[in-house]
Amino acid sequence: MDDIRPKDSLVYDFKRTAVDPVTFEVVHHRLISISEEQAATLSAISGSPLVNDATDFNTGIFGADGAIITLGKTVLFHAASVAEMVKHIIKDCADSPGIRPGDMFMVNHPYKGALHPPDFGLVAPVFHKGKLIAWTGVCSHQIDVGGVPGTTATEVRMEGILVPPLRIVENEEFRTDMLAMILGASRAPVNMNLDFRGMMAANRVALQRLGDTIDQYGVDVVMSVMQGTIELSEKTVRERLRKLPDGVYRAQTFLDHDGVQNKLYRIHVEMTKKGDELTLDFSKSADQAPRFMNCTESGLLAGVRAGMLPILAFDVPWNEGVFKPMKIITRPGSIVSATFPAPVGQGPIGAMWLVETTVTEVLSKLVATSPELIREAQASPNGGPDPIGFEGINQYGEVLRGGNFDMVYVGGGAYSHRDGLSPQGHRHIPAIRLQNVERAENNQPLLYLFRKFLTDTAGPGRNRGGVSVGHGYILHGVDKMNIRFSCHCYEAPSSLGMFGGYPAACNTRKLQKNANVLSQIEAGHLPVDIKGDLQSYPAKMTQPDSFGVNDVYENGPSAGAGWGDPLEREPELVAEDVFYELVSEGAARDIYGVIVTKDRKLDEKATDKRRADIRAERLKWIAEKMLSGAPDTKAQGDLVAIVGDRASIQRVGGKAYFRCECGSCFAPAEENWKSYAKKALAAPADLGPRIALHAELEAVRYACPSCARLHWVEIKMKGEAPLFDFELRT
Amino acid sequence: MNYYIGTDIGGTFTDLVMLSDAGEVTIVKSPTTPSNRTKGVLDALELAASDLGIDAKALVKDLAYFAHGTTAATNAFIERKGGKTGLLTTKGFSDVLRLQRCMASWAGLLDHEIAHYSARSFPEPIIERKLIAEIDERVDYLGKVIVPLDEAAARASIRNLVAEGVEAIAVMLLWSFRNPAHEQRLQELIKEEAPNVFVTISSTLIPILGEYERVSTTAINSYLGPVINRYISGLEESVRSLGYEGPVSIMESGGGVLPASEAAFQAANLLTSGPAGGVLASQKLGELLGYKNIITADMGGTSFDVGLIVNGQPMLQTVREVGRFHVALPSIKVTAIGAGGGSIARVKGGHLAVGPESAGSEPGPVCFGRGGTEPTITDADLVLGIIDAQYFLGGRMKIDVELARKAIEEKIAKPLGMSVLEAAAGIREVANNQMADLLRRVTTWSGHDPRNFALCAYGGAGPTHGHQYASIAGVKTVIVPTTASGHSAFGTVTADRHRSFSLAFGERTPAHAKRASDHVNVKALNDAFESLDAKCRDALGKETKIERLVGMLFRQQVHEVFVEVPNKVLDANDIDALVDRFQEKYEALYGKGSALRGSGVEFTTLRTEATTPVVKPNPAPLPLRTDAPKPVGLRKVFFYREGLLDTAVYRSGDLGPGHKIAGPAIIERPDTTVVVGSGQSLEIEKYGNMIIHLDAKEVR
Repeated sequence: MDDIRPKDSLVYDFKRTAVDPVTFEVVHHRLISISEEQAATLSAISGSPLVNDATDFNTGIFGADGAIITLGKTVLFHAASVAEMVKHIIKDCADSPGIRPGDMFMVNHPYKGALHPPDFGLVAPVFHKGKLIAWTGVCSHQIDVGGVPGTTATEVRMEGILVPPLRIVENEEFRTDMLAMILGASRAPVNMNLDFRGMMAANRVALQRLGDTIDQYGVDVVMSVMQGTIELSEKTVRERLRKLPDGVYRAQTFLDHDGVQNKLYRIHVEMTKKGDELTLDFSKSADQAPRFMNCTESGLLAGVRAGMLPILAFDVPWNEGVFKPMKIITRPGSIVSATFPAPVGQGPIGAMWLVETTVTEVLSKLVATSPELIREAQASPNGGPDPIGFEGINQYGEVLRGGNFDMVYVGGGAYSHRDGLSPQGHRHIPAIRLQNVERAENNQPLLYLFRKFLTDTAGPGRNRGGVSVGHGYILHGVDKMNIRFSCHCYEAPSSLGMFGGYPAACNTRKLQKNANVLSQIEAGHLPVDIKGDLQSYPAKMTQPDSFGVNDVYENGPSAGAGWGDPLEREPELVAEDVFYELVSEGAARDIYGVIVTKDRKLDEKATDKRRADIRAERLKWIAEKMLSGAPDTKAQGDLVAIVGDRASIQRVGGKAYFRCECGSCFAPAEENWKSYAKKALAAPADLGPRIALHAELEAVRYACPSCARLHWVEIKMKGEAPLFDFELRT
Repeated sequence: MNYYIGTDIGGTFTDLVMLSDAGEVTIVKSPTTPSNRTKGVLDALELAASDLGIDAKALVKDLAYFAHGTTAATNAFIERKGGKTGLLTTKGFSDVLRLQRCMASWAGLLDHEIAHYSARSFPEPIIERKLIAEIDERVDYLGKVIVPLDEAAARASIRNLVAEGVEAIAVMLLWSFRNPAHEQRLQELIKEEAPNVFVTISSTLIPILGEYERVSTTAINSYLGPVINRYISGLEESVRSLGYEGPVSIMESGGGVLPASEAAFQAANLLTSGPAGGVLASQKLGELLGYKNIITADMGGTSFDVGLIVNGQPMLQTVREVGRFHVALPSIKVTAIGAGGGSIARVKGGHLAVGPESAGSEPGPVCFGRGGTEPTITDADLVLGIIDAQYFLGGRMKIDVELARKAIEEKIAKPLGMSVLEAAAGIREVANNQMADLLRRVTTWSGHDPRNFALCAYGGAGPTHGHQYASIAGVKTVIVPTTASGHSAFGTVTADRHRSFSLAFGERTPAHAKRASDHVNVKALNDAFESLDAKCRDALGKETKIERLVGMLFRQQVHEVFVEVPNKVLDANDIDALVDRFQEKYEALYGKGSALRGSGVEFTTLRTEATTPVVKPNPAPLPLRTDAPKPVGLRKVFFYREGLLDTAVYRSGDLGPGHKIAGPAIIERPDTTVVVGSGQSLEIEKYGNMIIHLDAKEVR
């Protein structure tokens, strides 16, 4: 959204003063501590697991124009929510009904700053002597905001009550009539009321503490520190960017199924890096979808920021300064910038998720050109969650609605220097705490059969992705309930590897009816080989299915993607993964080229031979083009930039080439190196037993024509040219 | 004359506090001997004896009580020096210990470490994957056996572990706290197969809901069991070999001491017992001096540890993180940040940052002259004139003010364009504010207001900074105990015998229930408390004082709050009263109207806390002084924003009860330096503890 500033007459015109470094540090620490106190106040009063365990909320202090001054390290998507709400409050409310001391504004409208209708924000202006100096706000995810089941909503007005910026607090008290109206729309009004009280108390704490700090240090000093922290973060990020090579970097992925049809939606980013600025252009992304997986412009911003923070801002205070070097171009009406009234209920785990994924990929490509920063580059996190929804009656005879967080138990993306974390949990939640199985069984009528690492979920690579955790359960204490699923990354792998690393598994569901579980239990053993009638479901269900006493469900989440050619992974590590059933013998043999003995120990000789065979096979692949007059593999070259840790762009004899670590300069740098690589299509099974490919997609592997090293595995639309990932200014 | 001795092994020093029947308090310090920690304890004993002009053997003849606090368990765990341990767990759930409820990659990391994704990693495991065996059995949430225990397969698994050479085995089965039969049977099988293997079963150690916390705690207890067993019996033998026949007590983290024989089997309970000792010492001191609400603040070389005493009771937590895993035994809650005398000051992005990195004790602050090059808080205190280079640790340690000055000049003053004194004062100001922010966080986050608390400042650097960080946080009174530098050791000798037993209960009321008593089985509740009481009496004798507690939460909410339960046979009215009391307490903590009563209430955990006082003398009042306090001199001390002030310097040996001193002033003690700021005043109370009144108007 365009920069919106409140009228000058409303805003305090502060005098920028030179603050000594000691006072600066003390006041800055105080501001951060105020945001933390805000968070603690909300957690305490709310008591909700969404706030306390999933940390699906945020708190912060913002400038008079909405610039972020402090930001809690909770769900990273919220790096956009409250700040965007502030801008909409200024736009919609400054003239009427007005913004006064003692007011607070509530927003959940996704086209007015919220990420999706469940995210409610409560935002308070901060006044000093009658003039606006800042804002403070809280946003938290509500259990229920009314509306119809997600997949059935065809417009945002069906997804729950929509609260535009609304002056719901006046003279420091809730307008009880407005509050009652909003609570009345929820199926969990008591919980919502508690969260609202918590948000109000959190804002009060911040207002009080900000006031104390201003009394102690003076308003100009405090505001100068606010401004100074933003400049400090901006400076660090700009310096970081300046050292990286200019060029155009691209990434794309596909969202499968729109709730109506099994159609693909492209999420595409073209990032131009020039000097110390980034421009991210999403214009080539698909048109918006008919159902709830879209995101609004606020959602796009949230996804971009979530992708960016851990890569470029891992060591600086998170505030507006971090985002200042970044410009976004987007196309209204696209899936990443839907226009009202398109539905957006599942945006955070739909389009927004994949914005985070593509931005993570494109920024990882950028930092992977620098030996200093390549450590921050990472392969994709899991492709997207596959939540389960329960509807029925629990073992205590009470209404059962909602689901669980089992789908968050996922592996993280691999790095150049290590495997992905097993598990990491969702990438945009820095610190999450998930439920014990005993807590789940205590609250829901289920008996879990396992919670364990699953085989072949992680994307293979020299460093493999983090492994995901699977769960299996049967009903216990009731005889039926209804279930629903809705996800992407079902037939379109969206956890993508880097530099020859493979994608991670797609989401899989194994729901078997009339299974042999109870009979095995009756025979006195926990079930081992579960067999029943396997059900098949579309990625997104519009109608629920029944789940009965003889049925068993096993989830199979996507995981972290791999980094580097799997043939270069230490064979011992692969054998160990086979031993502990994280990698199947088949994947070890066909993807890693590792052979194990009967007792699942490494067979070195057989492995050497197998790897040599695979490399020989790759050399038989066909390259689209061949470079004539390529320099000798031993020719001295000048490094322009590294491209990952096994290739680089080098200038040899006055010309720039894409050069494999083996020495082969096999492509001119100004063209897409993929056109000069040996390439082969991969069937889903070639990528692993948990990969599915939509009919319109293909997977292509690209290898060095000289040493057969795998440099990339790409998922793209059939018939399209390979993506030109690294178009460096040489 | 009888003597009572408490000892505490810290990273650098082993402290010993000795009380006599006459109420005299003696503190000695001896270097910690990491290769054989018992030696440091015996050295300290020798020092204490020589203070009386006798030797250790002679002292032991009059020794009535010996208590000990140790970091042995914490160190062994953090360094992963426990025994080779196996785990038996329900089939399908062998990854639970590695998964750590998805906290594995961030548990125990600081905020800035969590934000740096690429540098995140997993903790070193406690148990190797190949030593985790799955057992065919299953119990459900009601405690009903769904799949019986496959004893033959279990026996084979135990044999495998023994063949692998395990020293210890941990057992954690799902829902064992509702039905412990399978775990108990496995314990018998292990005893049959391998009588010398150390065994912990989760249903005995920690019968609460939550398989991760149970397996983590149980695994840690088994992992440390053999090591702690050897350590404690070694210590006990050494003391016995001097001829001591009295009781030997070991400090635990939950609020008291355990007999040595029992502590050997409670290794997980000994983790982080050091900070607990300081909090208990503050509690006892508070009882003596009449303070019920105390913030305890221990500032040592590397960290600043804060605890709370509310209404005379230390604040507890049910789960704590140690060595990147979790221990779910109730413990005294202590929150730490990296701010201590050794915390390093740096210029980052044109601004001054202090900590969390520390120069530790090696190389230590620059002024120690052991090769440290980065200026620390202690260097700043020295340069400002707060610490006297000639009188550091009573003059026993030589430190170099010039080295400190140069380091601050080079690393801080020049880059920031400040004078050396301003830079040093800046380091102090930044550090004190960070500590004040932590004090606020600890108090307000638990629903309290720091203005209603006195603060007990101890640790080597605590009294030097207390007057300022406490004042910034709004505290009005600072207590500097006579035992400031050996406060944890003091805690070990003054603490009561203590045991805590918990039991998962799990009775619940439906949503919108009118009366809880219609839904909660009162007989089951009475029976459960009876069994917990019996455990307390078994452990600490018939006369032990038992406090009953019930942990409750509003269903759909996460905050568990413990409510006191009357010691009697409960009836339906008592149950309803408990729910009212819970709501009251919940709202007192989390705010009026925060109680979600409509969602129903769950009685999650029952707990008993048993204490048996240990007989020991109280300190005797010291003679009242009627003379005016005499300073040993006047020196220029630089205070932030105030500049160089003429500051009177006193020696603690010259001061006594009744003396009042107005700030700015410095009182040098052999173990620490106490600072009184401008506008503040200090008085010595009758036992020799110093009370600083931060607001001169508040002086009583």
